Amino acid sequence: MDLQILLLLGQDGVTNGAIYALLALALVLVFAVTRVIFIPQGEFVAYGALTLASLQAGKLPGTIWLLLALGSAVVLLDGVKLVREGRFAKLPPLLIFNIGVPLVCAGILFVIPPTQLPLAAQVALSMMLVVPLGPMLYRIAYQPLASASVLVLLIVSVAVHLALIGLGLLFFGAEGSRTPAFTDISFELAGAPLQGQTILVVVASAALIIALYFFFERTVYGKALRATAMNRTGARLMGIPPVLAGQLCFTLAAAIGAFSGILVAPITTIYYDSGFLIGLKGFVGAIIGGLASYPVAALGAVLVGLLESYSSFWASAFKEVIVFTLIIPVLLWRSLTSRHVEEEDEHGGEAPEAAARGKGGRGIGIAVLAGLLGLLAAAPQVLPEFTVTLLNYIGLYAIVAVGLVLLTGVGGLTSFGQAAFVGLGAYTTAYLTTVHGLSPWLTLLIGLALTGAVAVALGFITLRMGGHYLPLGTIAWGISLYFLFGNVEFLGGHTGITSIPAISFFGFELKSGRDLFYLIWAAVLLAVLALSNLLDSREGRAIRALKGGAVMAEAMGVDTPRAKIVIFLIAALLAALSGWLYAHLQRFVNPTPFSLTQGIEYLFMAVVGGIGHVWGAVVGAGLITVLKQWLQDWLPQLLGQSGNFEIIVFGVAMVVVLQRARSGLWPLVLRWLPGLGGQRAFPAGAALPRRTFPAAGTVLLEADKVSKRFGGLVANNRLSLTVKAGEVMALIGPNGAGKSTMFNCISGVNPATEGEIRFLGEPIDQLPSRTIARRGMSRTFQHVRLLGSMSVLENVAIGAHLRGSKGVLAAALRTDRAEEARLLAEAARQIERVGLGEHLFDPVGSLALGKQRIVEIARALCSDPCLLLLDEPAAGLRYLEKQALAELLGKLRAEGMGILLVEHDMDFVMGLADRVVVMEFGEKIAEGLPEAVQRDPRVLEAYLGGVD
Amino acid sequence: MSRKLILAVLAAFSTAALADLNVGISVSATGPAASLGIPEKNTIALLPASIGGQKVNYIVLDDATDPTAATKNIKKLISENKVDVVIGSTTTPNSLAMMDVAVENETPLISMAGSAIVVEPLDAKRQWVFKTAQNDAHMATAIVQHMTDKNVQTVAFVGFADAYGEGWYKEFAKIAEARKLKIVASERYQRNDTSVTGQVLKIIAAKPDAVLIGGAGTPAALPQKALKEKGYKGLIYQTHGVANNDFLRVGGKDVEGAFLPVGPMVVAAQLPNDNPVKKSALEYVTKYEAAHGAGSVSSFGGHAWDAGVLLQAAVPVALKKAQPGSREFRKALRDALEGVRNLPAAHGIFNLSANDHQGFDQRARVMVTIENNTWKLVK
Repeated sequence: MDLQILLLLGQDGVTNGAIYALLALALVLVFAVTRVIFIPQGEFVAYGALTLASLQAGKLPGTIWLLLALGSAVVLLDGVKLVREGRFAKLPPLLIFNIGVPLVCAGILFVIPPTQLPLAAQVALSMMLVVPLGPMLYRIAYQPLASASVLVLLIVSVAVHLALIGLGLLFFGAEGSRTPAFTDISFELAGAPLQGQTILVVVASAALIIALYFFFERTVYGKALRATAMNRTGARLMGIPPVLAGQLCFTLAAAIGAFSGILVAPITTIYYDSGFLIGLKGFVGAIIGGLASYPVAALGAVLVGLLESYSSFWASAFKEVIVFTLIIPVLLWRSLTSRHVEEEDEHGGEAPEAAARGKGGRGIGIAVLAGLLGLLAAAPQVLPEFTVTLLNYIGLYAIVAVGLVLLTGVGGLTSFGQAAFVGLGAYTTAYLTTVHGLSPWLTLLIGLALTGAVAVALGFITLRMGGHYLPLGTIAWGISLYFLFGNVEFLGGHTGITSIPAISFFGFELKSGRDLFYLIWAAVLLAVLALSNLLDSREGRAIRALKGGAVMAEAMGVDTPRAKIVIFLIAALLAALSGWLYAHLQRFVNPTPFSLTQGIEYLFMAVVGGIGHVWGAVVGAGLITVLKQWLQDWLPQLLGQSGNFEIIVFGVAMVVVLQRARSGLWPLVLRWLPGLGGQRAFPAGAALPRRTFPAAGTVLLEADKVSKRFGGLVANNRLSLTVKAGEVMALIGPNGAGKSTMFNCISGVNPATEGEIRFLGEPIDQLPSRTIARRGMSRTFQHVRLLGSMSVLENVAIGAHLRGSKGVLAAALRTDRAEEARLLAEAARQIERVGLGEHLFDPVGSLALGKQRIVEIARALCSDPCLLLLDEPAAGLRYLEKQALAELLGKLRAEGMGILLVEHDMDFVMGLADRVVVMEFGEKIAEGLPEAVQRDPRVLEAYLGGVD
Repeated sequence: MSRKLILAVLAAFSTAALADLNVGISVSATGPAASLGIPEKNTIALLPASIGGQKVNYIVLDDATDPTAATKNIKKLISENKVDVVIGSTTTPNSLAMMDVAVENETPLISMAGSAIVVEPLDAKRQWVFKTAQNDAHMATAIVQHMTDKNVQTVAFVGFADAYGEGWYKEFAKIAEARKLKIVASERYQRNDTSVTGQVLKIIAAKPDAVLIGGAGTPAALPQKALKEKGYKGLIYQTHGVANNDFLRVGGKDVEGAFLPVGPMVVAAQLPNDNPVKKSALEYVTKYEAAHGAGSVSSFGGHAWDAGVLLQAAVPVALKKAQPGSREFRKALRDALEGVRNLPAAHGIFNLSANDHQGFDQRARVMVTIENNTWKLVK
């Protein structure tokens, strides 16, 4: 490769990268302000370019109709509300913006033939036609869901994207368009021609980026947006309405998109569906920037452009494979180096209720199951052929979606890549049965083994990624695997593999759909049953704890990286099983069904059905398959033969469904099934073995000159303390003294920078918190870390994690029941002991905060600790409750437990503690008996601000 | 829902009871192959409402360029609409996916896809499959012939990273090797990629005498524009997949001078009057343009039309043996299709046989070039 080629490729990469960068900025902006991952961003590129092209071809662009329709919808939605509230003054601006502007545009188009307008006017008109669609979409699709989870907003984005793609095809046709260049100048650069338009793209993008910078830095609106992006609640308090911020950022995003489209249309051909791929690459750039940093996002986008350009030179067939595989290490690096706060996952999110239903849920489960089994057994005999066919496909999709419920709904790990695992299962059997003539049953095992190996390898790399890096990681390997299928010669390339044999079952060939029906649905039901069992078990609670943040789970002894790999593996294996069935149902495979689009569709099904519920997956798969079929049957009859409206109506319908039921449809179904609550029996089971406690007075914990620094900030400075068995040691000090930091150092949540910590005589300062927990230390958290929708019993039982040993398989097969009963009985005993016996089956989120703190204590006790760390246990308690707590702690002390207590309530501390350590500004200022400390002048000064 | 389905089935039964001829169609009217599938779909509306005195019901479904949807469609067409014959689908993978279902239900399938593997080898399964589009090999031979006539010795290929590009490359490479043409570069790009600079630079660096672009519709213009922009001076060949007006619109002056083999219908008016295909080709072009405007016809729609032409020839023969809606009729229709001889259609003359389920010969292809932004027959 000579210098000239190198330069030309670089120039090409920068040009494309500039456009990706613009889109990346828009995506970052929209996400930061509204938490919407704006997949339709790319459609604005296509709409902008194609609207301009329509004008130049003298055609009336279809976007005008969309603009009028959306504008009228907004007026209807808001106008009714305004009229009802009597705010008539607000009506004219609403009407002008949403109906007036579109009508003016339409008027111009009808009066002046657009071909006679100068280019600048055509561009302006195109922008006027496309940009208002942004805020209108926000009002109609997103605003009613402003408080929904990121996942639901993402799925709404997918639905909007589908509808816009369908409309794009309708408006602009399947063929692409170009627009004339703004400038015909061309240069010579190192002997190579360089088009003026190319330079224009880069310069205009750079100018726009700088303009955006000034907008954010210097203007009121820009500052308001920035404030909202940084802190939504804060911005609201400062009087910036979130709706205004949302409208503003969608307007900007639409403008950036349409402008990008108009910029590139002269140098490339734009199609109705070009947007997705361009947007995806902008999205990659945005994620590299952590969806937060504008400059890094822009750099990331340019990097993507360059990668693409050079890899298309080296190995064009593998371009996508190369680009997206190279993205993975970048993501990993970004994920590990940037500190991201998983703000939403901590307390928000729709926690999985299916599992929370515990025994009662199982009761219905069995009833529903029995009914379903009867129906399913009869189905192939009585139903028409095609209904059986549809049910088969629903079954195949449901198997994958059930895996996603576990992975995404319960475990909180979003994956777009499941379709690739389906492909692995399908291709393994397709290849081995056709080329090597192996039995499908053998290839099932091989396929599962292969998928398992790939999943563990991929999981090992991608599951380390936090926040939004993980979903993008799954997109990256999903795309890579898809293009690998298409480019591997022996797998039949893009054309595929035909003549896959039927599965034979004891000599009987499962040839038709009716034959395979039983196999497919047996797989669905077994998957659902196994996962319901799993979620209602020790390992299941550990998995459900993942969504509450890794810190609590780890402190209770859960190996969270392992738990993540396990659910990733299960989801992948289910996908591979579905792929195996697919290959033998279809008898043909090619890469198309294993693309990213299909991966998104699986997620779509799970979310619409109810991603927190195993049955939600089945409902979602069913609804989407049937709805699509129904639309295909009835829409042409309703609307006449022409046009392809299915996808448009489908997208719109899904937005409506999610607006009505953001947790999916299964919760609605549950509401209609009566008597599901059911009274649950108090768990009974033999007591678990106890740990042998060290004799009273033995030193349990010894912290020696522990320091903790965050960058330049010293939170703890050479702090030493000891806790003995059978004593209550209190750590007190004003707010910000570093008490909780010290707790985190001791419990391994956030290891100390310097110093030594010994527990039971052994150093623990380098150990992860789950290992420390295993040695007999347990803790509570200052900010309660409970799983709100799970019952008190289940929350507390997480504490007993280390006292059981049955694994995932035992749970799925229900051979863990004896141990499970003992664990639950232990949890119930601890709950009784802390005085919350009446709340055993209540969702913990329904308890008052004070009581939730007590639940945390029960959970900690459940692990049978010899050292208990309590972080402000008495906060929020009433007087009598405090007395009861003090009594309980006294009892624990008498049993020989050591207790380290952080507390602000001085009466509580002084009445209970044997010894006290006082901290201020990260340092120990006093230590001793309570009475002595209370008289210490330094302590008085610290608390009272200097008494002379 | 099941009640609706049952109603639908009943409805299907009641129409079938009248023994109309039911023709099921699955085309890729959306998704990546939409530019091929839409003219096919439009063409179905132009097919005759009755054949041999028998009323014909056309049931058109979209498979979104997805083999799973194509399979679903054919299963639905056969089990619910009780079709006697299926036309579809647009792409090779979709046609392959539908093949098994057609065979199991003993229903003739007429594909409109390009690759020969849809009808070759003519094994037990493919007994039920026919195909109206010229085989890729058939078209590739014409290109290689033209190249050797022009004294081309080295050639580069750049095509879609999908079944279309792949099918073309395979056939072209096979024939080129046999004719001692050296392929010096083979590149791929995505249909809606925004840039092919890398691929084009690599091709130019290999200094080929000619470049073949294996794409369909407007996306095939991008490599040619890039080649021109980067100063490539050699011959450029396109495939018959580009033969529609949109390609000329988007390609503009940059695609001038490209050579491509097409079905005769693309230049029907320019054919000499003694050309046996001229009349049948003009009939389709006239009908289509009357409905959709001058210059709107594309070669893909012709494949759908030709499926109709085949049915108009074979159905009357089959009707003599059995009534539509029966297994016997479908068998008779299959036999009748195989017995079609010397049938002029939009793209050529069909001569089907037990050894050939495509049935076109040299009369089904002509070389054209692009001159003054229009297709010009190369004499």
